[in-house]
Amino acid sequence: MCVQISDTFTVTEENIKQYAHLSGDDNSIHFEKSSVIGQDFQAPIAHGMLVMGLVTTVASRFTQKGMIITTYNMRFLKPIYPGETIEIIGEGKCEAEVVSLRIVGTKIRGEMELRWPK
Amino acid sequence: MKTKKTAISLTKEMIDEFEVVFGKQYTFPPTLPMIFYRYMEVAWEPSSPPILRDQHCACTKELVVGETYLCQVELDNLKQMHGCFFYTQSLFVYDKQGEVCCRCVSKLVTHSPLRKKT
Repeated sequence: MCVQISDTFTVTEENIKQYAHLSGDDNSIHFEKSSVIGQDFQAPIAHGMLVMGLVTTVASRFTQKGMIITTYNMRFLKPIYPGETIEIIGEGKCEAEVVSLRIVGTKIRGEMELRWPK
Repeated sequence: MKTKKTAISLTKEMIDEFEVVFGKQYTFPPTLPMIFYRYMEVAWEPSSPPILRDQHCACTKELVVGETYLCQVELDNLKQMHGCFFYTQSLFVYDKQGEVCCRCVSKLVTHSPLRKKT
């Protein structure tokens, strides 16, 4: 392992509204309590893609230098609610041309690969 | 089942809106193309709110502001198990050479079958 990065972020209701506008995803499960009945959720949940986007900060030390995230996978293990703070740890190896990160967080698991642009 | 290919231009306004949610982007992440769904007509829809279980995003070429891309969504892997309906939606982004430059694969689950949008 050549790198370990930890970060936290909080998903807010404002983030959820902004992401709904950005993406066009106004699925009622992100806004209406009536939609979560029968889904085993406590409340409306954050968009998975919102969470995935917020987690990319774990790679910012590499993207600031110009590296590009070429692949990025995420599994959503449990719902994330507005007001919830997510802790993430990115661990990985750095080779000359490639950085590979494994991401472990509250309720999520992911992998990311970064490369220099051609 | 596939949608028609839709021409979508990546504009500075889209990036500005993206950065409102996710902060300054030094390089564009492979999750960026998911905002193209806002501009696409998808002919099917779930009759109850879908949940994102798993997401895979990959870009072989960087997206460029000012460029126009052809985008298409493909539906497959429909399965019914334990009273739930599982399906995969893949967004393909083609550049002007007709090559796939980004691919975003979403694995979703819902409590009711998909239906054709009216």
